[in-house]
Amino acid sequence: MHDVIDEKYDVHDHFRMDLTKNTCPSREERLGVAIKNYYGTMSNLVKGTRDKTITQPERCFEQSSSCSLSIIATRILTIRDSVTLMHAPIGCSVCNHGSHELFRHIPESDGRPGNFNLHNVSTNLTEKDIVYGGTEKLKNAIKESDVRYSPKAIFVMTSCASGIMGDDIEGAVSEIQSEVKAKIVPIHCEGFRSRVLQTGYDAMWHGILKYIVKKPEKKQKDLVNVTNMFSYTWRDKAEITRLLGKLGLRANFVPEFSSVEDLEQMSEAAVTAPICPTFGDYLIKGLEQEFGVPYFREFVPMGIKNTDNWLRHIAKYTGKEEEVEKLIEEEHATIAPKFENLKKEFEKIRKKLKKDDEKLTAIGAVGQGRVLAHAGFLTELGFDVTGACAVDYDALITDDFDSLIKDVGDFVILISTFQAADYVNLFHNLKPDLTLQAPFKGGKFETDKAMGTIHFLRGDNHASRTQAGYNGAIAYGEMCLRSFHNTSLGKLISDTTEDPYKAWWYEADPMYFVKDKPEKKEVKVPVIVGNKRKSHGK
Amino acid sequence: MSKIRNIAIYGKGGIGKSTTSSNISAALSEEGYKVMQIGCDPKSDSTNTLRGGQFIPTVLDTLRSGKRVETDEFIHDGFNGIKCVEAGGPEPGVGCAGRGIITAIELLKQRNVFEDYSPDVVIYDVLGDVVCGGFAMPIREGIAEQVYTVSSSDFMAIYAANNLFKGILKYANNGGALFSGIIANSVNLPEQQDILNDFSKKTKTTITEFVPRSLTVTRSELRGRTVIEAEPDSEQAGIYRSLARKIITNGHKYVPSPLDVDGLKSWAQSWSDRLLGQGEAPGRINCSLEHGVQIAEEEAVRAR
Repeated sequence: MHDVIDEKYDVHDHFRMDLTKNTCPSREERLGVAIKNYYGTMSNLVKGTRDKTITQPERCFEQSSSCSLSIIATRILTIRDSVTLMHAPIGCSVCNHGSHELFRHIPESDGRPGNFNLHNVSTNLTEKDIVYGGTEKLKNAIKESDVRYSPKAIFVMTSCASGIMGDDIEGAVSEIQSEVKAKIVPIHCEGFRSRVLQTGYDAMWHGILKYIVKKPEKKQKDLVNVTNMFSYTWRDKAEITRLLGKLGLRANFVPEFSSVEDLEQMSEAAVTAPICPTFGDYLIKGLEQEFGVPYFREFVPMGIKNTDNWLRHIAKYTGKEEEVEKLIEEEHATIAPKFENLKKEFEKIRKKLKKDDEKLTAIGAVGQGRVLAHAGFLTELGFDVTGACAVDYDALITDDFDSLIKDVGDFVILISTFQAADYVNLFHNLKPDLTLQAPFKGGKFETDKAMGTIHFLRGDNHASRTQAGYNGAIAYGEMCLRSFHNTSLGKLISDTTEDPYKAWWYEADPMYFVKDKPEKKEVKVPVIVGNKRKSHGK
Repeated sequence: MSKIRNIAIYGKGGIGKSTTSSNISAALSEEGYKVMQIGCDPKSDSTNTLRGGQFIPTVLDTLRSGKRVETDEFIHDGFNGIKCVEAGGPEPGVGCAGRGIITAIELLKQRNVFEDYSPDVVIYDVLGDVVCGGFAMPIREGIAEQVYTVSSSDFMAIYAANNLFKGILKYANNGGALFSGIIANSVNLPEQQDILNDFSKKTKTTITEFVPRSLTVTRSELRGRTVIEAEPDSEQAGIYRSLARKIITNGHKYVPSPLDVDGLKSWAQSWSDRLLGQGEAPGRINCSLEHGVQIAEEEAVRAR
């Protein structure tokens, strides 16, 4: 299993999860290096992780962000035959409301379940409950959920409020379990417990591994667990299904829109193939440790080369080595001409915008896993990757970053958890030809250059919104191209809105709001030694 | 790995929990047990007398740094190799001490401290009453299995013990810890013994040991040591050794029957009446809330 990875893993101790425990450790606790702010070169980030000089920075100013609870509640909410029970004040459910709208428009013919109802219940903790304890209310809510929806599973999501007052969730659950038919799954995702959002994913997988996944009755040789699909979109799910289908394999997409049975049978799959290696990290390792399901995590199916490798790894574990080569050949035959066309179009643009053999530059990514995907893909398209953004970073991906640097060269990376101002500052400093930003992350800003999107809304089912697989390589490449052809959005924002930032911010160090920076640099853009770029800061 | 004995010792603040815990730990270590004592009190002075009066960095102090902490930064050797840990907590008047206990204990579990150090006995010295969910953490499932409470015959200490019984009753069905006995502390007079015996009978509990108030304790603690270390040949040391032996051999655990508010009040009233009937009692023993209130009210009237 994962033969290459573990050997070179000198950056984190050999974590063995313990499912008898109530929950997972936080990423900070487990990995030592798990941070939400950094600005510098990829190579220094890797180096700092290895020599353990990188620590969690303190910010003195931060705008709205997210939390371990809200980031997973929206995913768990989509699990069929389940209830998401928020043991929280009512406001903690605010992110869940959008879920209906995100997916309702998808026609059933595109795979949206006919019975689309999402079951979201909250204990609505009030002042009285915080004073007197909320477990009675929780037990009642569990019973009520069981009666109302007859679910197969009830996910009890803890919150800051329940965590601070110390409600004994496990005790309440074990007391009430015999009275309800549904499997109760406590998920300990108090927002304050970790400053790295991905701890929320680990907590989710811990609960699912501990309470839902069954011991395998048989092995299903054609079943492939595909984790965290909705880091991408609905249409990507279709593309992955298509590709695996051609190999005679079935994708078991988890957790979004999976059924409780889908989760139960994860132990029977031939392999776990994550869409994002770090979001699904706890699950893929847990499935291997507890049930011997192998995994790989080196590739993300974005871009042609990455998709080839992603499929080849799946084939390795499913005995489809020959079939996969045939599939790759077929797919390449269809998309290679389209991809070449795309590259030609970009070349035309390059000639217009750039001198001599200078490449077009781009900044991409949003999650640390996507840094790998974007950098590879953009390089394939002929771009020079100037920089990347990631909402957080931890030692799980250090080795992959190291390999990436060797592959595409060093570049600047900004780690910042949904701080739109930081992104704007970065783009202003690096001035790439193409910037890719994410919806919901506050990253739209005025620019006269090309601005694309990192990913589309999860519920987007239009073919042009694919990013994964071969069709994704074309569709996403076309999106990047459209961004150059039409730069009106940035201009429109510029014409119609006042700049939200004062001039000084554009000149400031992107880590301005980080307290006790190790060094106060005048130079804003880190110098990359012996590589393609030099500082253009002042 | 042999089964670890996890014992929580609760009691009202100032009643002598840390003194008792540390002396039990010291006595057990003399018997050859590997002992770990975990102070669950933001004052973080539980293990002081095991470390010559020295404070140690607490779990929460080390977490504050933001860097990944190694377990040896908060686990320190004390008398006779006893592993000393202080959960720590916020300054008085700020933050949430209860959550502090949860955070500290969760960290110890996540770090597999108990597996790595493999103590024979872990003693949790927990602040006072079960004041909130956080302070109930050590008696929840998977932490301590047996609970003792340190109590004097003072009404407020008994009141706190009764509250602890309520906490145990609450968690008993969920696999939480069960009760194993009252450690009667600072009990020198027969009436004090009677009061505690009666309380234990009413709540269907047992008394593990009567520990008298003694200057030996004061002397030892002023020198930053346990009685076992400072005055090993004293009578008091013998009492602590006997207590420790009883605790380590006592596997009996059960659900206590706490008195309800009215029950406790009328029980206290009955003792007040009895002692008043004896004429001399009120001056010597303050055991009744009712009585205390009465005196306080008289004092208040006089002050006006």
